[in-house]
Amino acid sequence: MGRYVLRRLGLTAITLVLTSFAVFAAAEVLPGDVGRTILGPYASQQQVDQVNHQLGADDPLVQRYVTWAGNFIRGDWGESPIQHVEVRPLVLDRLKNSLILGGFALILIVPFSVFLGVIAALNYGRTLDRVISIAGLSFVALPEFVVGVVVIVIFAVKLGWFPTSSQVPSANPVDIVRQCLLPSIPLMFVLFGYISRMARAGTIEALRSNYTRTAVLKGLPRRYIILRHVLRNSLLPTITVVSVQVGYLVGGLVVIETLFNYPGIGQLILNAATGHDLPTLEASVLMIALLYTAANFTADIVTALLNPRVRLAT
Amino acid sequence: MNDLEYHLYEEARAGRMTRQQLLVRASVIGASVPALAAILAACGGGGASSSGGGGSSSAGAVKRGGTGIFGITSPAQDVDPVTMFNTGAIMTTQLACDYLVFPDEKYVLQPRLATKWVAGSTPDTWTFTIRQGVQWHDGSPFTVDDVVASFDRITDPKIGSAALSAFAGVLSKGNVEKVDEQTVTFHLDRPYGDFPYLVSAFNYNSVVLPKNYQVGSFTKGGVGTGPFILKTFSVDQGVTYTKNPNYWGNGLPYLDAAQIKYFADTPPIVLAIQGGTIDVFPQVPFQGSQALFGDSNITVTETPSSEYRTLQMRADEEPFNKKEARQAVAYALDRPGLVQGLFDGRADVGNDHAFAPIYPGSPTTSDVPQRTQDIDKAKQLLSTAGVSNLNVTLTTEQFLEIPQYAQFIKQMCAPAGINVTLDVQPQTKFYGTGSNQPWLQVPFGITDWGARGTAGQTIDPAYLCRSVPKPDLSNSGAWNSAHWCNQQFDTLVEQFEAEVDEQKRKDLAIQAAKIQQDEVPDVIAYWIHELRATRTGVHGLAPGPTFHLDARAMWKA
Amino acid sequence: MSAVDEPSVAGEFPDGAAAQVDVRRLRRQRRAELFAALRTSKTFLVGMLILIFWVVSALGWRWLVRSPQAVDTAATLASPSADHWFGTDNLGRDVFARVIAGAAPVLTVAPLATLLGLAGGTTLGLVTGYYRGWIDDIFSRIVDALLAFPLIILSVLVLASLGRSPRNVILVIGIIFTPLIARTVRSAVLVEREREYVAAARLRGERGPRIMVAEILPNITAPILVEATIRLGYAIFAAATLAFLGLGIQDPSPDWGLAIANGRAYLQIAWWMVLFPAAALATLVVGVNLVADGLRRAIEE
Repeated sequence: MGRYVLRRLGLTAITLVLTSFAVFAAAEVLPGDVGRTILGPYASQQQVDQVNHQLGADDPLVQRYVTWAGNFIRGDWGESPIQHVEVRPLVLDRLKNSLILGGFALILIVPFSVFLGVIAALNYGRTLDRVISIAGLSFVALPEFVVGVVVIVIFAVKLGWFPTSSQVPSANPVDIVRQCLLPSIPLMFVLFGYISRMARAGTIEALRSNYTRTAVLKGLPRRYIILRHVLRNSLLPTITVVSVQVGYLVGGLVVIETLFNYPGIGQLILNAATGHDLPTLEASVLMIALLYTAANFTADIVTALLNPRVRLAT
Repeated sequence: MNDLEYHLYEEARAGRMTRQQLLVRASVIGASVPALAAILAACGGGGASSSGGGGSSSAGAVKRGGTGIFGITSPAQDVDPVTMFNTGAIMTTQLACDYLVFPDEKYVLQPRLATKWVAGSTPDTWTFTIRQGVQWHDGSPFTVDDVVASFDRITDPKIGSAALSAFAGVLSKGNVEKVDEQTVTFHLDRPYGDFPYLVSAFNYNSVVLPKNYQVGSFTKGGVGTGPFILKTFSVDQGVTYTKNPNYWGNGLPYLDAAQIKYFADTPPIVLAIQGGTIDVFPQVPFQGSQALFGDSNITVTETPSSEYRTLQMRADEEPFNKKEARQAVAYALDRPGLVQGLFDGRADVGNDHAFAPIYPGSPTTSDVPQRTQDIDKAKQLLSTAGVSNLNVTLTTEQFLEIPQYAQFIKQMCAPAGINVTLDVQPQTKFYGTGSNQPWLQVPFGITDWGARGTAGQTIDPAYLCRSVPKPDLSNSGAWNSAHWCNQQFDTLVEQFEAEVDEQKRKDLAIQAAKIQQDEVPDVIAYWIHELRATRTGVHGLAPGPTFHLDARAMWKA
Repeated sequence: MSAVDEPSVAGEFPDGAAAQVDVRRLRRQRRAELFAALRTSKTFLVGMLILIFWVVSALGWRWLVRSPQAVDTAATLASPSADHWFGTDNLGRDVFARVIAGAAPVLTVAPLATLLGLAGGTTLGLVTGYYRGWIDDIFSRIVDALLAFPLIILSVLVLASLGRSPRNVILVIGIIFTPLIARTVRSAVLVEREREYVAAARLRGERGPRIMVAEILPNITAPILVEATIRLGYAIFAAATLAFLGLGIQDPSPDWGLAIANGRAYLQIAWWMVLFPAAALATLVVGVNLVADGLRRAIEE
């Protein structure tokens, strides 16, 4: 197991280095002339050169990357040239806000989707199964902001139960639900399809497996079999899909935070990207990559712990 | 009664000015109470009571205590009284600081740290009497030396105050003289009849600060003589203040504490006041805030103002270097339609000159005929200019109602044969910095201008020849975005600013306005009514001018 | 290219020409069966109906009574009425006309992006699937790395750098789709390359590129078609999202994503500004997905 963890850790580190380089390159190379992009067509060439020099954009790319990555690891994330504030507290604060919203959404979505997925599997081939599957398929197809707009119009504008845009909630549970429930629903629509499908497939496979059959033959009660054998095995693929969806969740947050005016990292990324605030943009995208790889790593380890076959295979 | 007071008295007797206009002008010249009484009596009005700065209501009903919470958009720059130019920063400092004089919502100047002011025989010297017994927040006494140091600081080119442009050609460094322990005299570069506005909140950097003030230290707290003492400041969390127990105003402030919350954008502030997490939304843009009008818990006050937008056309380059091409754009616009469509009627129609209807003595439409939509005339003007089909890009900012205004312009120009392409940029990009400030460089643009106290305050930086930006934009504060220069106009404006005889002032204003309207460096389609929203139970807060915050007489029921 | 592992060619089919004729007939027969299956598939027909409605709207909006661009300063934010079925927006423009006309931008950007991805993905999939070897290995790593990142953030990053325009949106979506489509094509090619007719073609001395294009490609049109319709759904999703984020097409386009973004500030007082474009987008996305689902099932049968 120790070797397995080490190996995964190594792969994760490599992915991170590659991703961070890609992020850096995308932000700094694609625009061609960084200074010109930041300043626009009305700036003098002299001023553009000066900005490029300040940003170090006239040094070779790899050298700039190493400097940047080194500073990042040391905790020096630079200062935002647009907002004139330190990038690190800004990004970390926004990340915290997003984690509150994303965490709330996941806590809401995962048990709900797994439950319905298992229900669908237990009713395999019947109407309930088809209804759940079709709902999942159509929900996945709807853009988050379409669902978001519909729930805002119904629950915030017409019924007035929730605010039409969300603030960072206080620690009060009522406030958390008030601020986070509406933005979670569009995320739920998309994730529901994936997670319930995986839970359904895992359950069906487990139901057909030999150990379940043995358990049934042994005369164990049905509820016991489902809880003890089936659920455990159906959770395995679900964990994988949830970890993969963390990436989606962050992308979805860009849209949701924009729609709900929620001060999270998704909104920060969008504003930094459109405002050409490169230090903020790079730091926040890298934090996302970090979070995402960490989620994948954890999922791999948890999967291995739950399933000895994976653990031994490597 | 001195000369200036007598001029005003003559106007009142002749019935040429309304009571409100007389009050404004009397406040500018610092008319004494007996003189003001005589002037108002000549006008046929009652006593000398003005609108009483801060809208103080019947004192008996006042409830003391509590915290006043204000919701404003985050300052997009450092918050410092000397360098600020952004409304978020301005309101943040105004709770803690005082000016020599402060305007009310009708632009009548109220005494604050100055108790009296008077012009010399010509208005190139102005003498202010300073209030005695005032203390700084740290307990040290406020003196005339602080006043002298404050104005030396903001007129010093090395310090780079945002007020430099307002004082350019009017007040230079070192020309504020301490006469005695109670009096200062400002020696101006040229006669300037509206000078008190330049030491009021309308020239927001002219905050009075301690003589040893270090630029950049304001947000550490405890700076000022104002009604509230700044305690904590955070760009994310906002600002907290406590009551200044030693405030000079009798019994003021009423609140025990004040708090400012910063928001990124308008929609969350609208929700915050609807939800009751803030008491006041001091500066409400109409677009996006419409929901407030239907909310029974919220009062929205509306005051006419000198806030406007320039639709500027570069007079020094194609395609608008011909006057007729600029006029064609001006004739294409349906101004009453714009006032309706953008503000649901909460604005006054503009007439392409910078003398706002709210200023006393501004030309009316009987002096300078109102320009109205005339598509045929626009087409004809275009052909006179030698352009049959005009293709031009309109560059502007994503701010307030401006993107909608741009859309309307595009649609209204089309029938006249002017094909407008829109380029709406984020505000920071449109303003830029250094030698890259698109708003001063684009051939066709829309820029937002905040309210000013007098026509001169707008015209000096925006329309005079000396305010035409240099190619590298090195002359800071030169905001003549149309790059328009007319010597005759400049002369008339300087005469207008120096003149104290109300009738001559008005004649000069009419002549200048006619030139500006004919030349159209920019289209001025509307003058905005400023809006301020308060929750029911908030009293004593003046409804304007809305980017100033004077909460000393505010109380909550 | 030493690493290329050619499929083993035993001499079971001496007569390659006969096998080829056989394959062509089989293909024609399969196509007829597919059409028959589609004609009875309710899912497919309903989806097609929705799709056709929006295509007709995208082409025919010019003949509407009201222009989607005509502003009216006297009728801003008017609620739905007999005069304005879906109300008006903040500039007094007719929301109904804009919803109908809004089909045009999305049905231009999304299909073009899909076509771009399809062209790139099919080429890449054919090459990697047919030759395998090191090209395939590198490709698989790249796809894995790409999928490891929230795609919307990638698009935001690239569009903010390259500049916002419909052309760049098409490019970004098309390029992101390329490896995804290539993966589907590759797995189909992996199956086909082991078939007899490929072996026969190789025996006749045909070269790799010709085999890929003339022999394998016609036999994998079905999975490509299904992939294309699924991708079209995603392309609509992505294009609308990018427009909503302000990175795609700009005002005064009647694009639905853009309309929803603009209407956000008016949600409390003019819900019609956002609800109708949202509903339009939802029907189009669902319609395309129904078509994709119907197609997939018909082919599987």
